[in-house]
Amino acid sequence: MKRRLLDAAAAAAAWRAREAVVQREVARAVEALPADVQRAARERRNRYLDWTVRAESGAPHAAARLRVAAVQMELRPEPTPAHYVRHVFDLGLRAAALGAELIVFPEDAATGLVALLPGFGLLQRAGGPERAAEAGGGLSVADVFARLGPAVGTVYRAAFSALAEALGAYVVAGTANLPAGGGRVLNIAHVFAPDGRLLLRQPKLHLFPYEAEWGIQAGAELRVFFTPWGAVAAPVCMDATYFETARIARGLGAELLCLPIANPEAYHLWKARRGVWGRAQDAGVYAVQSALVGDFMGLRLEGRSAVYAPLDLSPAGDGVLVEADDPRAETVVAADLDFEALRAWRARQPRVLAPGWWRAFPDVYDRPPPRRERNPR
Amino acid sequence: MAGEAWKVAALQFPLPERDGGPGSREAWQAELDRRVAAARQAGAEFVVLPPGAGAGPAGVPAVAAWARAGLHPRRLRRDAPPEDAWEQYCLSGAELARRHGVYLVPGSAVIPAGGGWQHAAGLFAPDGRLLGWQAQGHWTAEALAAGWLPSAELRPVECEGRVVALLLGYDAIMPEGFRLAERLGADLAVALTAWPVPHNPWRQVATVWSNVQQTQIPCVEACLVGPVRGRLYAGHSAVYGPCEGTPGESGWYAQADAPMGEAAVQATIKWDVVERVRREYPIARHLNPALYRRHFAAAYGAAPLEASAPPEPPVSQDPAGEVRP
Repeated sequence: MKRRLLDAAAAAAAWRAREAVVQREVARAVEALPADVQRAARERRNRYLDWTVRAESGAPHAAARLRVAAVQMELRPEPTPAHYVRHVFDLGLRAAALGAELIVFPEDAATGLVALLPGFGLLQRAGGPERAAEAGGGLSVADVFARLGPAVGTVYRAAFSALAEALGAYVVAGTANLPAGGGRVLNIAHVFAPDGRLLLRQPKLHLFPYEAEWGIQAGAELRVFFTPWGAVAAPVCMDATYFETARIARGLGAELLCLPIANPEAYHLWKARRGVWGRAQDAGVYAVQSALVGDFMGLRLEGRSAVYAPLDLSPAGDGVLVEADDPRAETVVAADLDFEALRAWRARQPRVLAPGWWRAFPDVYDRPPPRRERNPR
Repeated sequence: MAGEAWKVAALQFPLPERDGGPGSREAWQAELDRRVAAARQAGAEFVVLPPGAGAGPAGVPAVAAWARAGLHPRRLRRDAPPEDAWEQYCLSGAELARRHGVYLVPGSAVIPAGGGWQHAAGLFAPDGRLLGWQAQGHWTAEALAAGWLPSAELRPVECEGRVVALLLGYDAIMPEGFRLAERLGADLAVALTAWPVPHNPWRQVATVWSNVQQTQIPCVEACLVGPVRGRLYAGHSAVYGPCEGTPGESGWYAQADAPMGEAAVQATIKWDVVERVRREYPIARHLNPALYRRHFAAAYGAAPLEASAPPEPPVSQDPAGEVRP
């Protein structure tokens, strides 16, 4: 019975988020942009289109310096498409005002859209996503995401595609938990080009333990997208806990990792350093990290959006180019990345090899779990 | 050493220099004896000495060559280690371990092997037995070209019902070293590192600390410090663990206060705490082998395998056998 109720509520959400309504809200947001922003965006779009033509003829890198922005976004209920589009455009404008040409939003940037569900207030009071899903009739959290997928996906993609085009900027739109066929739900980062085209859908490859419990599935492949500055990868949150992600990204040519994150715990410096800060070091890449913050459905999310670099390329030698001051507040930070400097630095680094040990890769990953997991004491 | 908790120590002190410091093997052995005794007296049961400590004064030039990570072959010949470097290392280590009743990694030594050199270390039991040894696997391409021989594989050592991986130099710095150790079931890593000045404490955070976090293997790191044949080294010897199991969730059980002076860093690793952290935050379960298989078969297979058939270190005894001075 409750499942049927959820299906009905999801249908109502889809009605609230029907294409015509979403497009109307997006058009309003674009029209409201200041004239100077629209003018600058036009110039950037033209440069981008010019680069795409030259890139097809083999021009490798058209620019050396890129200003990037990391959005620290509050997760809050977005009961209508209008709420969400305004929220996204407000933050995008703040990034554009800082001169950013690549803007990164956090993981679960679309999760506030669960408030499209009629009766969302009741779910929110259930105290946590698992309990809310159980209140829906023994469903998993993934089931809820799957049913809401059509509505969430419509609003999310339209808002960020329009933002990218309106600002003439690359936008890594954080992630959305969306159905991906075969009954699977993936946590997928979306990247939009300065002309609004969807460039990349990057599923999260390594799950946070509770995501696995929720029924979310891990993605299969890491890809990069190409920009006038170089290749960029957009792994998601826990992907940065594993050096393997960054090794693969670098192997694909990436010089920049854009990492949306959402951490459901109090900010802690050392726990934070376990993520993409470390991957910037061991893979020799720049990294932009965007954090989701706020209190939502019993979860407290904290994190510092930041831009990281290899230690030698950061002014204080600590690998930090910029980091948000407050791990709880909505904000935007920006920094300049010098890709010529990165390439020169890489060229100076020794090439380290382990011809014997490396023969164990990749078979070593297929070994049975280490003894300590088989026999936990 | 109780099974539930290990009291470990990383000792940090300069190697014997030409000018000043103990010049003879006997004097250096007495120096090591004094330091291990002090660590034992402070409660340590598992003691790690810095790289090169076990080489003795005669082996220091070769250790200096290792720390420089890649030298012209002519320079390597000039600074060659003694032919019996490994035997001397084993004699010294076994004696120290037995005399003080500790598990001991007496630093490392550079040893002649197969026409080139290896950088190796061993783990000795309180009765003086060599429980296992390890030669360094990761090298710069320049060092390999100069004649350093990489080990063929990582072979973690069984110790008191636990598994210890000895990670030397780049093996501790590269995440692949720790990942292999983790996949091979290591409970503890011992890292022997050399960090040339200028000192930047973030380098150790970006490497050893970071590798500990992504594999959840505690690590005892002993650093080369002070001048070694004209070059200065500085590092904070430390005992690391997964954040959630360490004081202040910092990822360190303990750390040397200063990167240059002498230090004895001691900590107690409680295995039930480490295992609880791994159960509650089971990152090893969420590796993505299918993804790695597609990419790493080519990436790691591209290593120059012709350089990967090193002779084993010239141990004069079976690694599992007994070593007697």
